[in-house]
Amino acid sequence: MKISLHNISKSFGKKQVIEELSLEMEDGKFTTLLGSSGCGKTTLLRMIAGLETPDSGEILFDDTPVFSKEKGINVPPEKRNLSFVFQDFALWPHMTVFENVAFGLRARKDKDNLKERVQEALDAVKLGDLKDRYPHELSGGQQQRVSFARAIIVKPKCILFDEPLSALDAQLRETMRLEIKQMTTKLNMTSVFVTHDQSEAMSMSDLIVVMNGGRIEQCGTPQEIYEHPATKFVAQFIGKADFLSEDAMVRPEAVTLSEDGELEGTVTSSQYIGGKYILGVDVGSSNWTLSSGRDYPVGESVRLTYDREKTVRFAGE
Amino acid sequence: MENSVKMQKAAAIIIYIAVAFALVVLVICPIVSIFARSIITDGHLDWSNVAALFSDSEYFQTIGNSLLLGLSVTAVTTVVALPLAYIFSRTSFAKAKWMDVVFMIPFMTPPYISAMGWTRFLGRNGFLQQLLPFITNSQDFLYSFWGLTLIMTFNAFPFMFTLMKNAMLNVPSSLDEAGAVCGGGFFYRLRKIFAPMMLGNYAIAAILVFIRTIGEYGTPAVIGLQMSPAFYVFATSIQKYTTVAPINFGMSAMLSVVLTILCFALWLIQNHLTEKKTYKVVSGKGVRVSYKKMPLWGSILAIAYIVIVLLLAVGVPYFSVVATSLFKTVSGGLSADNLTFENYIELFESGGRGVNAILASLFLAVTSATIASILGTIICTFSRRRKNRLYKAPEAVGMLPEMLPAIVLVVGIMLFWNALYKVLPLYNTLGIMVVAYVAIFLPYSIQYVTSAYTQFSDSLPLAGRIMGGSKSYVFRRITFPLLLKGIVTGWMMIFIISFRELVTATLLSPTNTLVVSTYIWRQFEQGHSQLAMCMAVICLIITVGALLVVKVLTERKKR
Repeated sequence: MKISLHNISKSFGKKQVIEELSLEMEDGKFTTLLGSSGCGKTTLLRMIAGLETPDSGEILFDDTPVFSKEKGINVPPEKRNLSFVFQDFALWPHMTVFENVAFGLRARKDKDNLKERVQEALDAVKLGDLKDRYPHELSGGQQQRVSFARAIIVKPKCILFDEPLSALDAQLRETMRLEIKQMTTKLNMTSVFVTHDQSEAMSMSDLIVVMNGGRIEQCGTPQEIYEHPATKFVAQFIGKADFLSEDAMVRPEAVTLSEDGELEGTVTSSQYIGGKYILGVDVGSSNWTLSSGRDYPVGESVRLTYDREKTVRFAGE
Repeated sequence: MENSVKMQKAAAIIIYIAVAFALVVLVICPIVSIFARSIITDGHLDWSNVAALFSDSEYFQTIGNSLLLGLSVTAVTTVVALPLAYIFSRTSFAKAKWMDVVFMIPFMTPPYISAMGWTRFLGRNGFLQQLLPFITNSQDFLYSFWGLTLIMTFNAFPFMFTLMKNAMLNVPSSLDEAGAVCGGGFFYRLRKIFAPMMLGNYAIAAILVFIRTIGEYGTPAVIGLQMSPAFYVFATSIQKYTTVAPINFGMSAMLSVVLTILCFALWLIQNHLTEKKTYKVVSGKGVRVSYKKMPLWGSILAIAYIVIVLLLAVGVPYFSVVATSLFKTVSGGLSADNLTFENYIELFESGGRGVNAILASLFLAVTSATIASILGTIICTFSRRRKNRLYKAPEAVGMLPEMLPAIVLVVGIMLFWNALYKVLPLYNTLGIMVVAYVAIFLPYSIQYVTSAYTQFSDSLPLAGRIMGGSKSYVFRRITFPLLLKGIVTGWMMIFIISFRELVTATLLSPTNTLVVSTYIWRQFEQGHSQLAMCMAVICLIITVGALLVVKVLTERKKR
């Protein structure tokens, strides 16, 4: 299912959260809305689900409007036939795992083979044995799996994720990334994923939408975003950027230490991250980051060079 | 160094023993006295009261009346309180936080005063009949089971309203939204998600209202005793057997025992429900609640509902009380030339009885609030500092009066100090009232101090110790200042309720001493309702004023 947003705006009170935003999310693709807190990404996701109402604009699912200010259309969330995975999991505490997952089927009065289908969904998230437990008897990761099972059981054409991994610890997060990606690919669902974690966005997405202050900064594949950031904001937000000037930079991978390098700098920090060191080097105009095979004491002078072809220039603000 | 540690330990043990002794005298002895008196007459085991309970229809009637009233008040309270709780937690009305204070007013109004207000409103030639002369029989409704139910409901509903509102506020919106994206419509979600989640909290609130109703004295005394035939409930029956000839201490103790057992059983059920049937859904990140935007007709309906409830809960009684206090003659009715401030002047002149009553109440309120606050703070400090059961026990005992209707403990105190009269003639002095107030209101202090304790982490005083402060220094400079607001709030609450406490004063005040509540009662009974209502107005002003102070204090605490 393709999701199209046309000229969406939204404010809460006097604060404009989304400004005249248009965006297309392709069928079967994994799109990530990436940005820091308050950039409007969650609001955008909630508007797609129907949990918030835009002030203006239009939202289309496969060319059928589910919201249109002009035409006065606003399909309520329960009629949009999509799934939503909440940040706090939003499991109903008074229902067992089984009943939580079965809810979508029961609410839609789609009760054929209910038991088997719930079991199947639970098996898919490896929770087949825990169906009689209550949510508070599960670990955080298990709760997240239940909420994922609850989302996929209705076989939605689209599934929306609101920072689903932020409540989990780091190791679990990595595992869940893979599982979510595998599952959505297998089921061929259009996925929209909201996160503030750039590595999450990089590792999972077909398309990343970088948002800032209610507007889209850049929209592209992870490679495009990293290698060709369109704005200074994107360059700084994704990965590390070593600035040559106000409107040009290189990524740390393009920078090397070399005795006959044309740039001179002073080491300001050195961190061992396993296998290599990350150095901070003061090059006068700015502080650069680069990796090195060996340690340098803080204060030592070094010479550097960089790959001219990897220089990125972006339009000034 | 070692010496001072030993000294501190010795001091702690002495304080502990003093507190334990105080609690035994204040709480345990009276309760034991009731149980003992119900089955012992003149030193002999005597089961006749138990037999009478089941054979005499008068007692049976009392119990039946109380239970029936409890049920009907709980039911009507549900109807009034639940929609309000929903409006003020899940819709945009929830933003109107100042309404919390407004709903505290009926909660803090002494029930007997609003009941008196109602009799002036609905009674024969009352305000309703003056305003709408074609109504001639509103007194028939006033002095009926349902009249009594309605008046008690408008006193009790803030309890359920507050409990349910807070429970509803604790449900994150995401639970409802998850239901919506899963395809559930509004009413389906209400039925499958919201209602079942609230059921446990509702049961708890309902039990609380029920317990309060079956133990209440004020309203049943004002309304129920005027019904024909008189409608006796636990408290009014107990009061009759204790003070009106022929006095029957055995029976009043027996009824107290029945009431005690009932309340304890209900508290047990409530505890069980709290543990098993309420859901902790608040995660570390806090609850995000988004308020439902209501359509225009919904808002109008909600406002109309709020206005009607407040009119009945606050408007009618307050109007009646204030208007009556300003009348030259009660029969003169509502007209400009029947208004006067004379009554207030008379209240402060007439032989000083009114002034003396106020002074007596002030003395009682200040003394008992102070003693209860000190005792409560010490008790909480013991139970907070030590893990040992022995140190937790005082808190449990100190909270017992919370589970009992005041009248039960008052009867117990009466019996106990009567028996002790030859050793310590406290009975029939203001002293015994202080004892009773401290015992009955100690739980307030314990609750407020406990909640103050939970608002800061154990590591704050520990950090003080590590920085080199001695135990007493840390208590003085760290713990006590952090507790102070809780202690003061508890003090204010005890001050307010003991200032206007009725049932204790009715049973225990010494001959010829009137306090505010008994003054109001006496004047009202003797037909001087203007004077009674003047005193009631003064009482309300002090109550509501003190309440606002408490509110300001607790609001600032949230900084």
